[in-house]
Amino acid sequence: MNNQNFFANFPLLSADWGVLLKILMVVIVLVLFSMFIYDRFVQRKNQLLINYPLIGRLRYLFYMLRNPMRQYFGDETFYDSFEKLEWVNKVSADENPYLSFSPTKPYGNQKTLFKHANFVKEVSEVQEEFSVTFGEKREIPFVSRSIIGRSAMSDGAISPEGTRAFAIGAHRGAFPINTGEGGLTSNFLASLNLENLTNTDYLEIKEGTWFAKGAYYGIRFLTNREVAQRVYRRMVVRQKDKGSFIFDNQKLLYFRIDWTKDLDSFPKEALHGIPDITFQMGSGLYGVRHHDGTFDKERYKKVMRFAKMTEVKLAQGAKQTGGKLLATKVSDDIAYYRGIPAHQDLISPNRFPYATDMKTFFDFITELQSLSSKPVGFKIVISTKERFEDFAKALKARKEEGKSIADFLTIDGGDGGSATAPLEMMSKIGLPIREALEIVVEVLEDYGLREDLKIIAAEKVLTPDDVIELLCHGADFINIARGFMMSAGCIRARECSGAGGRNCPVGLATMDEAKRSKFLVHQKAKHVENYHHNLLHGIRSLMAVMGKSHVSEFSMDDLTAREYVA
Amino acid sequence: MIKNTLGEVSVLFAYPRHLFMLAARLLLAYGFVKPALLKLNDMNATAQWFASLSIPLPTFTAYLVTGIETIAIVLLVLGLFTRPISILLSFVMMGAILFVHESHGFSVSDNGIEIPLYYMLFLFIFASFGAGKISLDNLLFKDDNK
Repeated sequence: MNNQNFFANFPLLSADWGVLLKILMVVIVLVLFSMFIYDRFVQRKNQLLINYPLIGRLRYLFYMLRNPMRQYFGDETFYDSFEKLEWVNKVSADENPYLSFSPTKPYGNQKTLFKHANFVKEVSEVQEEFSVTFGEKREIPFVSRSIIGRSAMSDGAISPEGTRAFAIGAHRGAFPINTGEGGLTSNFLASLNLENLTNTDYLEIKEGTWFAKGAYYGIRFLTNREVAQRVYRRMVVRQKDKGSFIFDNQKLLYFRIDWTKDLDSFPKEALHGIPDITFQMGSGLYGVRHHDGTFDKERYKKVMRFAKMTEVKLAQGAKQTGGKLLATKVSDDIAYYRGIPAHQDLISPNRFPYATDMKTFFDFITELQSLSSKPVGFKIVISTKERFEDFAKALKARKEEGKSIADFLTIDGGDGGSATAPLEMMSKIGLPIREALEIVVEVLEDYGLREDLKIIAAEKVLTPDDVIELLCHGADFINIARGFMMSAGCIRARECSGAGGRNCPVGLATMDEAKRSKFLVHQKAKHVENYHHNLLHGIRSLMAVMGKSHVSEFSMDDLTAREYVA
Repeated sequence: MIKNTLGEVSVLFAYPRHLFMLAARLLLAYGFVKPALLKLNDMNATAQWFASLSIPLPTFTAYLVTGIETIAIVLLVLGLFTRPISILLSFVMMGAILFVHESHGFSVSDNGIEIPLYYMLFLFIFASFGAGKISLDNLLFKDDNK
C-alpha cells in the first residue's frame, strides 16, 4: 500500500488543500500588512509602534514572557542560588537532592558560616522529635510536633484545592498550618473523615443519591479519582458556594462546618484527623465577624474548637496595609467563608480594629486568651529597637500587674511575607529577619520576657541551613510560605493576584475554576509532606555536623561572621 | 429524593452539551457543502434554476444565496459569528421551503419540507443558544449568554 492509497481512505487528507493554503498565506500577509498600516499611520497611543510598526510588538510579547520564563534563562537573583530552588523541587518529589561540584553562588562571598564540631555526631545521636510548647500558662497549651510550620496563606489567595493539599500535607507531616487572615475554612479540614467522628451535629452534610454514586464509581473507573470527585461534587452540591464543601472519600459525602449551629454542638475535645491549625486574625476579622464588621465572640469560640492557637496580625513582611483580594478572587465560596459580598474587591483596613494603642491591643489579646483558653500571639515586623521596646514595655507592665500577656510573637522579615504587595512597600518597609531577631531577643531578655514569649520567625526560608541560621539568631519556631508554595507546585511565574488578567498557571494561587479545579491535591499533599520531612532530615544532619543534639543548644556563637567578603 | 436525583442527572447530562453543539454545527456545515458546491460550480445554471422557480431577481439572489451558504459553512465550522450567520442562513432555508419544497408536502421521501425545516430549527437553536463553548465566539468574544 503506498501513501496515496493510504490517505485516500481519509477524505480530509486526500482532498486538495492547495488553494486553501494559498488563501491562508494571503490572509496572513494581509493581516500583517494592515497591522503595519495601523501601527504606523492610524494609532497614536504607542510611540514605539509608530517608529517600529509590527516588529515593536515583539517587545510586549517578550515582556509578557519575562516573568514566567525568567527562571529558565536568567540568573537566580531572588534567592542565594538556583540550587536552593532545585533542592525544594527535588525533595518535594522525594528525589535525592545531592549536588556535584559547587553551588553557583561563590562560596567565599557568604557573610556567615556555621561552625562545625571537631568531632561530629552521628545523626542518630541528634534529637528525633522536634517540639515547641506555646502558651504554657494557658489552660490548653499547644505542643507542636515540629519546629517548622506553614506560614500564613489565606484560603482565597490560595485556591481551595491548594489549601486542601496543604492541609492534608500538614496533617500527614504533623506540622502546624496557619490559616492566614482569610479565616478557618472547610478546606483546612480536608483530611477529616466522618468515619472517625462521633458527633457530626455541627456539620452540614450533603450526600448523593444512588444515581450520583453510581456515576462517581463509573467515572472513577474510566478516568481517575480527581475527575470523578469533581463531577460528583457538581452533581451533589448544587449551589453557588459548592466549593466550600469538602469531600469524604470513604462515605462519598460532602460536608462543611455549619457556623449557625450552637456552640454546644461543636467538638469540645481536639479533633483527630485534622492538622494543627493556627488561626490568624487580620484587620478584616474574616471568619470571626458580624455582618457589620465587628468582632463575633461566639463565632471565634467556635473557630477555636478547631484551631490550636490564635495569631493576631498587625503587619506582614512586605506590607503593613490590609490584604487586598481582587473581585476575580472573591468567589461565592470566599464570600461564604468570610461573611462578605461576593465578586467585589475586598480591601481590608490598614489598622487592626482593636489595636489603637498598646493597652487596647493587649487587652484584646487577653480577651482572646480567656475566650479560647488557648495560646494567643501577634505578628509584627520590626522597624527599630526603640519601636519594639514600646511593645516590650507594655508587656512588662502587664506582667507586673499580674495580667496575662501574649504567648508568642511572630516576627516577619522585611524581605518576606510579600504575597501581592505594592512595590514601594516591598522595597523599603521592614527590617530583615536576622537584624530583627537580634533586636527582639536582646529586648525581650532586657525586659525579662524571653521566657514568656516564644518567637516564630519567617523570611524566605527555603532550605535546612536557612532554618538553622534563624534558630541560631534566637527563633524558637520557623514559618515557611514560599518553600511550601514551591513544594505544592508553584513555578514562580509571579502571576498570583489575578491582576492584569493573568492567573496562576498551576492553579495554586488563583480562583480561576478552569486552572484550579484540575490541581492534583493528593500528589501535591504528598510533596508538601515530603518537603517538610526532608527539611527536618536536613536539619538533623547539619546538627550532627555542628555537634548539637538539641535545637535549644543553638546560639549566635555557632555562626561565624566573615569579614573578608568580596 | 426525586428532586435530588433529577438535579444530579441534569448536572451529569449537561457536561457534554458543548460537544453536542459542536457536533451539530459540524453536521449542519457538512450538509450545506453539497448544495453550495453545486450552485458555485455553475452560477449561470443556478440563476436559471432560480428564475424557473419564479424567485425574484434570480441572478442577484443566486449570488446572495450561494455566498451566504459558502461563508456559513466556514463560519459554522469555526463557530465564528454564529448567531448572525445562523439567522441569515435560516432566511435561505425559509426561501428553500417556500420556493422549492413546500409543494411536495412534508415527508423527506417526497422531497418535502422535512429536512429544510429541521435545518431551520437547528439554525434557530444556534441563533438563540450561541455556538457553545468550543467555538471562536467563546474564545474571542466571551459570548456569556449561553
